[in-house]
Formats: sequence, C-alpha cells, structure tokens
Amino acid sequence: MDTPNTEIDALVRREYQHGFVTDLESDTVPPGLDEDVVRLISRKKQEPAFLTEWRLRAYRHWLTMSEPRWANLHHPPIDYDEISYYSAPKSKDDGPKSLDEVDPKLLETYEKLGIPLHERAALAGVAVDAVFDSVSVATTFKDKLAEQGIVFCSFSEAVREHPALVEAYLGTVVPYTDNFFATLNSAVFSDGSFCYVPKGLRCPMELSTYFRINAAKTGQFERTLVVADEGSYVSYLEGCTAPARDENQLHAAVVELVALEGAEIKYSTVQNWYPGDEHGTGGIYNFVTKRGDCRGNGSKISWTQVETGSAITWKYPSCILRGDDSVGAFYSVALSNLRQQADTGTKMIHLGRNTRSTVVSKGISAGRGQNSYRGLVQIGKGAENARNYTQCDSLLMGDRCGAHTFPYMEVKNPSAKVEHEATTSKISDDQLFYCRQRGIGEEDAVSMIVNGFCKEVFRELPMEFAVEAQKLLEVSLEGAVG
Amino acid sequence: MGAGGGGRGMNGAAASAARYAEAFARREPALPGHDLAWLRDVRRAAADAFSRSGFPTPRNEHWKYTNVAPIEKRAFDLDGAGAAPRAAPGNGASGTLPGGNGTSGAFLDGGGAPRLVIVDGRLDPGLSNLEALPPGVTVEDFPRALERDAAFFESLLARIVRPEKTAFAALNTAFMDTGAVVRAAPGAVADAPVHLVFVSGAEGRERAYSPRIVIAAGAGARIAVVEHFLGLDGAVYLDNVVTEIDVAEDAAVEHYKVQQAGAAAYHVAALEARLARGASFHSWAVSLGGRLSRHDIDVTLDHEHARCSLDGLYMANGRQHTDFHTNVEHVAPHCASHEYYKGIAGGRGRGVFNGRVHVHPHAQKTEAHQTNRNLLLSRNAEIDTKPQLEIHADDVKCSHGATIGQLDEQMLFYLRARGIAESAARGMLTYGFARDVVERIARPGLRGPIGAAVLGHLPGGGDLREILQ
Repeated sequence: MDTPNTEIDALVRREYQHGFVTDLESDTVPPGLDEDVVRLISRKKQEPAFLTEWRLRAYRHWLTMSEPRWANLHHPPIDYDEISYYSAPKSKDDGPKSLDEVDPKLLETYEKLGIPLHERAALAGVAVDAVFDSVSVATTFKDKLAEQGIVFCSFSEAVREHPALVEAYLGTVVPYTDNFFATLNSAVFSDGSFCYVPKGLRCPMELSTYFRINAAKTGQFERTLVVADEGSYVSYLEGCTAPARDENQLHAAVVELVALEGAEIKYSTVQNWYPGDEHGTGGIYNFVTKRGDCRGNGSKISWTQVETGSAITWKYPSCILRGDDSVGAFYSVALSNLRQQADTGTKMIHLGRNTRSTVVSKGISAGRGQNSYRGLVQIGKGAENARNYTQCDSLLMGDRCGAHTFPYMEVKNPSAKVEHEATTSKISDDQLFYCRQRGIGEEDAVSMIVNGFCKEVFRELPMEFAVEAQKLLEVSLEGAVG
Repeated sequence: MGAGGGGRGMNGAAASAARYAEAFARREPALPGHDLAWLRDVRRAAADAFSRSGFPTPRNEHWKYTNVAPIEKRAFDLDGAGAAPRAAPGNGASGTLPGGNGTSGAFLDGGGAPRLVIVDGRLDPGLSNLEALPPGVTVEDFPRALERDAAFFESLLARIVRPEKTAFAALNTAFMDTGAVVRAAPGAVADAPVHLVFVSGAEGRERAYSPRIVIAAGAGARIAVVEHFLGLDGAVYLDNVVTEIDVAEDAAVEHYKVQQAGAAAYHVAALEARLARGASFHSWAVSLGGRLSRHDIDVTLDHEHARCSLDGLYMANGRQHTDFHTNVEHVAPHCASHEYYKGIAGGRGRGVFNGRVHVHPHAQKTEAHQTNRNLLLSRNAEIDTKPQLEIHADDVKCSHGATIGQLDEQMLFYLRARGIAESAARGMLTYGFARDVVERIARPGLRGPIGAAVLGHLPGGGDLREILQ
C-alpha cells in the first residue's frame, strides 16, 4: 500500500502525550549502592529487623551475580552506581489519611494523566493504591475492604501493620536469589502494594494500582505481594504511564502471587511507559520478575497483560502449578513500535497432577520494533495428566521490524499433552482491501484488524481495562501500516 | 562464547584440550593434504578455534539439553587409521559387514547401487561398488579426492561448515582424514542414490573418527546421497562427522542420513548446505543408534527461488540421548522451507529438538513452515523441544507447531478390541507415528530398507515385523 498519508505521519510523529515532569521536592538518596544505602532505605521505612536482614542478604548475593545477557535485547550497559535507590515525595512525613491531604500538585499530575482518582474511586468502585515514585501516597476504599478482613495497602504499611503475613510470604515465590534484577529489587525495593484476601472471601471490587515514574534518575523498585487464602478470589489491576525523559530509566519490579487451596487470582496489567523516541533515545528499561504460585489444590492464577510502552520489556509472568488440579493462564498483547524491544512470555511449571495451562500471546511489531516471545512449558515427573496449549501469533507491520519466537518445552511425564502453535504474518492486502472497499478508512481498517488479532486477550481483561487497552493500541499503532 | 566456565571442571577441560592439541601437533605432518599451504592454514585455524572454545557446556544455549561431558572425559584414540590397509576381509565377501551379527545394522541397498564403504576410517574396496556410477558422477574417498584435485576443495572446504561454528566442527576440520566426496557434473542425473557407508568400532580401539563428506552438484544436476553410519554394538567410539553440500543453480540434492551407530557409541554430526538460485535441497534424517547423538543441520538460502525441506525422525530408547538442531537461514527473498520432524522417547531415553528459522531483513515473500511432533512413551523418558522463529521481514508466511503427547487410548482400545495384544498394539501405533516420516522419503527404493531399520529399533519391533508383513 503506497497511499501517501500525511495524517498518519503526523500521528506517528506525535509526541508521547504523557510526557511532562511534575516539580516536586523529592527526598532522594544520592546515587550509588552499598550496604549503608540498603540500611538507610530499611530505616527510613521503619522496617523490622527480619526485613533489614533479608535486604542485606539479597544485596550481598547481588554482588556475586552478573546481568543476564541471554535475552534478545540490546542496550548500553547500565551503570548501577548512577542510580538513586530511594526517592519519596516530601509530603510523606505527614502521612495523608485521605485524598484531601494529598499534595495538590500530585493530584494535578494524575489529572493530567487522565486518572481521575476520586472519580474513578467513586464511580467505578475501584480502590486505588497510587504509587508516585516510590511511596504510596493515597489509598482509597481501604476501610471498606478492611471491614471484610481484606488487607489492601502499600507494602511499607503492610510491613508495619501485618509483619507476620509479610514475613510468612515474602520471597516464597521469588526468592531473593532468583535473578539479577529480582535480587536487586529484594535489596532496595522502595514500596509497592500488598494484598491479602482471607479464606472463602470473594473480593467485592477490582483492586488496582497506578504505577508512575517521576523523579529524575530514580530507579523504581516496586514490590507487590498478593496472597489469596483458601477459596478466595481477587482481581488485581495494574496500569502505568510515565513522563518523557532522555535518560534511560531502570525499572526492576517484583510481583509475587500466592494462591492457596481453591483460590483464584486474576492479575491484569496495562503497561504504557515512555518507549523512547524514534531514534531509540530515552525510554524505560522494564526488567520485571512476576511469578504466581498455585500452592493449593484447585487454585488458579491468570496473567493478562497489554504491553505497549517501555524501550525495553523483559518480563515473563509465570505460574508454578504446584497444587493438584491447579490452572495457570497467560494472555498477552505486546506491541513494539519505534525502536522498542520486547522479550516477554511466560513459564508454566507443571508439578501437580491434572494441572492445566493456557498461553495466548499476540506480538505486534511495527517501525523498528523487535518483539520476542520466550516461553517455557515444563512438565515435571509427577505431573500426571498435565495439559498445556500455547498459541503465539505475530503480526508484522513494516519491513524493518522483527518478530521472534523462542518456546521451550520440557516434558518428563508420559501422560502429558503439550501443544504449541505459532504463526507470523502481516496484515494482508486482501484484508485491507476488503475493509477499504466498504468505505472504511485505512487507519480504521488497520485498527479493526489489529483489534481482531488481539481479541482473545482483550476478552480476558476487566471491562474498564479492555476499553483502555484498545485505545492504547490504536494510539500506539496509528500510521504504522506500510 | 561460553566464557566464564571458571572454577569447577576447569582442570578436566584444560587437560582434554591439551590432549587434542598434542594429538594435532603429532599428526599434522601426515594428515591428508599436509603439503597444501591453504589446507594447513585451515586445519591450524580450526585447531586453534577448538583450543580456545573447548567442548561446549550446558551453559551454552545450543547445548542446553545435551551435555557432552562424557565425550570430553573419554580419552579417545586420536591416532587415525594408521598406514596398513585393512586385511583382506574374509568376512568382507559380497556385502557382509565386519563384525557380522554384532553390527548395529545392515546395508540399505540391495547390493546393486553405487556404494562407498569406509571401515574404521579406511576405504574398503572389497565392500565398495563404484562401477555402476552414472555418467558425470564421481564418488571417491576423501584423501584420494584431495590428492587428485586439490583445487576443487580450496574454494569449498571449511567454507560451508565453518570450523568456528561448533567445537566439534573445529575438531573435525583439524583432524579430517577420512570421508567421501560425491561430485555431479552440470546436468548429470543419477537415478540410483549413492550410498556412503561408514562402519566404526571394528578395531577395538576407542577411537574418534573425523570423516569429512563433501557433496557438490553442478548446475541442473540431480543426485541423491545416503549417508549411513553403522558400528559395532559393544564398541565405544566417537563419530565426529562434517558434511558440506554445495548445490549449484537449479540443481537438486537429496540427502539421507541414517544414524545406526553402535549402542555404546557417540555420534556428532554437522551438515550444512549452500544453495544457489533455483536450487533445491531435501534432507531426510533418522537417528536410531548411539548412546548419545547430536545432529546440526543448517541450510542457508541466500539466493532467490531456492527451497529446502528438512524431514527427520529421532528415537531414544534405553538410556539413549538424541538431539537434532536444525537451522534455516532465509537470506534471499522468494525462498521456501518446509520442516517435518518427529521424535519418540521411551525407556530412560531423551529426545531433543531445536528448530530455528531465521528470516533476514529483505527476505520478503519467504514461506517457512515447521512441524515437530513427539511421542513420550515412558515415565523416565524426556522430550525437550524448542521451535524457534526469528523474523525480520514483514511479507512472509511463517508458522511452526510442536506437540508432545502419547498414544491415543481410543486407538489402543480399537486394536485391543480386535484381539491384538497390548504390546503389539502399542508397537503398531508407535510405528504408525513414525511411518509418515518414512513416507516422506522421495525414493521408493529406500523406504523399505529404512523403514525396516526403524522397525528394528522399536521396542518389540521384531514381532511387529511379522504382523506387518
């Protein structure tokens, strides 16, 4: 298709809408990392001794590790001494109890981002634990949830209020020795969210956190821990946008999910961090470790993600299917445009009997984007009648992008059934012609086809996220068709 | 790369590297083509490459599932075949193999086809039959071909399979002292496939063999070559094979590889084909024998309208470990590749498959399809598969599919309901699974003997043969 389309060009070149910096006084630790910084972070957060020790063990272990190089990613070396490992908005000392007490400038930032915090809270009944840089500043609906015994708060608060719960579950899914970035996170994690749903309870609302990266030269080290006790259900949403910045920013988060017997956790992510410009300058390095443990029989964990942002995405939300009859699922749409690189996928580790997993991955590459699916399906010796179905499709838009698939299948049980299918294609001229012939503009036609391509994943998203995700994809892809 | 193997095991690795370096220095003056300066450079560069890399460890992604430490630990005899010609074999008369019943297989041709037989690294004229060659086709053993026409090799040898590709390719290039060369002149058409038979382990020394196979088809030529590896079942040895295939414009090469090494043997083979415009290459491979085997099959499509198909079958029983790594490089536009591999693992066997398809930028209109199906038959067996697509062009049609499963219970029931014993029913279904790979052999005359060889390696295959015939 050679249709000249200046409108499309304009859209492609449009600057990142969410790129601005809010001038807030930050309580920032000087760049660099040593044991003192780790102790300082721990002290600032008034953490109990067990946590300080845990952080230090992680830090010492981190010193013995080297950055992984196996991913299909290219970036200049990261200088870990250039990063400031702690940053908190000044107003934190006052400890805002409600939205009124939150720094108005901060609220303004959310307004600009289009996150109507109170509106959303009131209208949609969603409890929002907003993370601005490294410390949670506002938590809504907490009391309402607390009435039912659900703990949903910032990680630091959980450490203070529910140390026993934190100690019992922290690092049991992603141990501090897990990998380079998870270990770094374990040493220096600043804040994040904690959620505990008690036995037999169905969490009455979708829980969501907005992640936001702001202060310059501050790596974000979020830590999220969700525990669903026996027979409970929780749906957790996570979404993010970030301001434009020239220097690459490191983000190394850890998410741990624990589902006990009969529990179900649904974890959804929309990630739209600054991807860098068309020359590959700037953008977030998103090195995330996400793992769920289906610890109890009949438990279920599903990951749904829409990844459109970040210069580099390195994440493999995984499920350890330990309990018998447990179920794991992974639904992903990953888009790389401009010079974005994504190396993402999942691991399904089948250990229990009759465990099932489904993987649906949709990769879209445009511009000079590089998209890799890397997945592991492992069936252990004792995993009788385990079943996996994996489908990963790639859509290529333009001749300078790339789509790659690296599925690993390791099967040690003769009763297992594992299937993997992958296709790679472009939007066909036939499909476009069909739409255009019916009076649909090229732009709309592409958007329609891409939405159809991603439908199986969008269907898994909670309602409000599905709408947002579709819009996000449209904006990120406009004009990308060649 | 594979650097950072520090600490543990370093002494063993260093000792083994020193042994190979010492053997190379000792043997270099007498290796075939030692008077050719260019070949000396090639061999030395390869020996140096091996000294630098050493044997790969599972930390190396390409060797993640195949640990070659047992090969590294063995002090294989690197001294080659020696000068004396093999004693005129009493057992060599009319097609009997040395070792008789102890050999892991039998000839695949009925006796009439062109055949070159190399026993323990030395040409066996008594077993070979090179009289019936079609016009324009020559078949020679490697040292003789090098002696007769060194100029032919200069632009080809170690240019298709680069010694630095793997440690084993480097070792082969440094030590290559036996093998076979098949050449087809432009336009030559061979109706009958050429059989290259390698019998290893007859001498009783724990040897490492380094056969080099070169197949070159001139423009428009059409040939088929069977590479057949046999060995003595009790013998411990290493076949380290490199095959280089050059297919000129519009030529077509069919290559069949039947790996029936002895039960205690190690078999490592690297094959690479280079295709000119409009050329076609069909590789068909089966891995049946050996304690540990590894095949690397690479095809580079860097001229338009070239096409290749790669078919294969691997079976791992007992404690066998078998590994196929295939790689298709789509460099030029308008090329096609099709791949169909099946694996069966029983006993404590382990089957590994890694199929990579790499579509380079500008390789538009590429069509690449790959299928890998696996059958896991026992509790202690394992299958590891990794189909891999890397695509840098947008106007392509690429797909891959991989499955791991077991025999269909309903089919089993159907057979049992008709009075067929369970073990026979399982055998039939397993053979049925393998059979469609055998059906993809383009030469009908090869299907029978290769099918029989496959059947022979199935658990309970003997009984099955009676039922099926």
